[in-house]
Amino acid sequence: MTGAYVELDHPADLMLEIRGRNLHELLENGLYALYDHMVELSQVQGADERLFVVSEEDVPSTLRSLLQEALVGFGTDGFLACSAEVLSTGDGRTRARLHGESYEPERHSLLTEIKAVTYHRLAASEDPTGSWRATVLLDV
Amino acid sequence: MDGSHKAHAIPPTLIKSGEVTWDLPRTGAMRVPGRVFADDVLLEDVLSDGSLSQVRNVACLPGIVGRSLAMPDIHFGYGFAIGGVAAFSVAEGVVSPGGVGYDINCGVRLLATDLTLEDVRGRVEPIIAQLLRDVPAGVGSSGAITKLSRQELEQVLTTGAAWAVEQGFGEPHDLEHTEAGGRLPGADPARVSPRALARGADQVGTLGSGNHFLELQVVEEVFDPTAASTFGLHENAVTLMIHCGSRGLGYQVCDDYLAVMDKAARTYGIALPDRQLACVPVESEEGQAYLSAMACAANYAWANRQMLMHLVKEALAAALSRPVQELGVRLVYDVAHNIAKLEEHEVNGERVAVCVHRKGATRAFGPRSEELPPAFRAVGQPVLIPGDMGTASFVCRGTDVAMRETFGSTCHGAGRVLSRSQALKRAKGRSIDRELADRGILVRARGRKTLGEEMPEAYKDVDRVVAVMDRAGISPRVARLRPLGVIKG
Repeated sequence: MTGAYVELDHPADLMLEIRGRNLHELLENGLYALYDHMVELSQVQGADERLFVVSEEDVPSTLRSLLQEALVGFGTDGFLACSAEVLSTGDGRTRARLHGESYEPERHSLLTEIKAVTYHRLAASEDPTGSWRATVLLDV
Repeated sequence: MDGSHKAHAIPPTLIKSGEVTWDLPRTGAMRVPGRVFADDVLLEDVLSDGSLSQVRNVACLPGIVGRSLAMPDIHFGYGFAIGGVAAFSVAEGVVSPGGVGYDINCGVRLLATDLTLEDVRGRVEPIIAQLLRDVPAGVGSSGAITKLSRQELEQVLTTGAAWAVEQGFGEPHDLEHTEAGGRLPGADPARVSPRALARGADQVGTLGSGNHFLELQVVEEVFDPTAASTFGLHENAVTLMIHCGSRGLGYQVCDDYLAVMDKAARTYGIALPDRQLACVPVESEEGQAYLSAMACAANYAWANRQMLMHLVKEALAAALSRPVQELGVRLVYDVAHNIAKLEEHEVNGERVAVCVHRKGATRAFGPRSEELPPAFRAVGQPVLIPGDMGTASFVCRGTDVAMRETFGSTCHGAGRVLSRSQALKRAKGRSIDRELADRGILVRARGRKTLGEEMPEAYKDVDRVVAVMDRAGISPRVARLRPLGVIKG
């Protein structure tokens, strides 16, 4: 998925600029960017479905919380997603439906261990066309 | 890189105060001055990456005492730089998860053996292969023991390394040779979120990834024969080093409490030069909750390193086809380098209870400290400084100078100079493991990217970093350890 995200330079960790033609796509691309660094995505099948629900006041926090949910899901029972769809945002609550499966060492090549989604330079902005850009730093 | 600090000229406010010390006098909102330990070369890195402004920002926080300190391996972090030390009075000061780091009690454990270089010559490859087989490492690895029950996990969090010993992984003597006895008091699992518990349940006994490693080493040079002998080290002896932390549990505890602090800091009316310095009074409810959860994560990390030590011992014995008892594997010491400790230090002639934040910094207590095993009290605490995988690691010792000047603290390692993507670019087309093999170092990594990202050039020169703290009288060198084989997650 070209244009979904770009890796920016950072001395120690993973700084990403996420893009989206609208808010939903921004958040979906954020999840994509995270999973793309965690695992060889082409190896992940989408048999299982999960719902992520986060409640945050603003877009940057929403992005951060969604990505952190993904990390917790992986850390708890190895959940890896190959697709994500934001169902709704608004009223400070965001729901996203993900398809994926649990990590299996024989089938999945894990890439980078991501410790956390930080607050460092966490920002998001919308331009007049309704496109969004966000920056987020992952601690690796 | 952070674009705002490209100038390498020494700012007029930075004053050379000693052979390897540079002071930032108190100005503006700073409550105390800052001090950077560095030589001219390392100072360049400090000036170019914005960490100096972080040293200054930390000096603005309530209740900070003494100085906002920067070790020679300092580099830009979130709010607090990595490689910094800051002590806050318990009565009037603050505690901040950002001053500890995500990987709570990331630390180092050093094992000595009765083996010499001769005993392992030609056997490094099978030893490393066995370690790779027997020690869970790499992203997504789960523990050598089955997933812990909620009750067992809570025991790990409250009793730390002692839990592992009770399960048969090591001896009570090991606890004496671990900072804090491998167990911080006041650890209440109720302060750890279900998410953090879930992330930690099956990671006990795992190495993790990134810059975590297991290393087979040889004592290449002894600088201080008395201290080396006291620590049980001598030239040509084979040693093993384990570097890792509290895994997903620790990362999640930090994440949970950053959110708590972000909201709570406002209610305490603390003016923050940087949002990531979010903090609360040490004695506040939130502060005590964090310290308790942090203690749980720290104990988890000590249990983890105790277990890893056990797995390493067994693997070594298996690889050499000798009984474990014959190898004389023993714990020299275990130190944390991402942690906040409640200690008492002398400030302006008075004993003050302080919360010392060491983020990418190691405790370096001097002689006579009751925290040390009796056998070490004449010499001071062993300080373990891992270098990058291509050069060397060091054993140093804590001193009275450290107690006076740095709240008994010193550097923690090499510190990065290249970003991961820069390192990977430089590594393109090169065989990092072949380059290291040519230097007599066998490296095996689980992850595909790890070697490039972790290449020696990506790090500062650990010899130089350690030399600065030696020259400052803070933590003189005792021995230099050369890697023979390395396992990276």
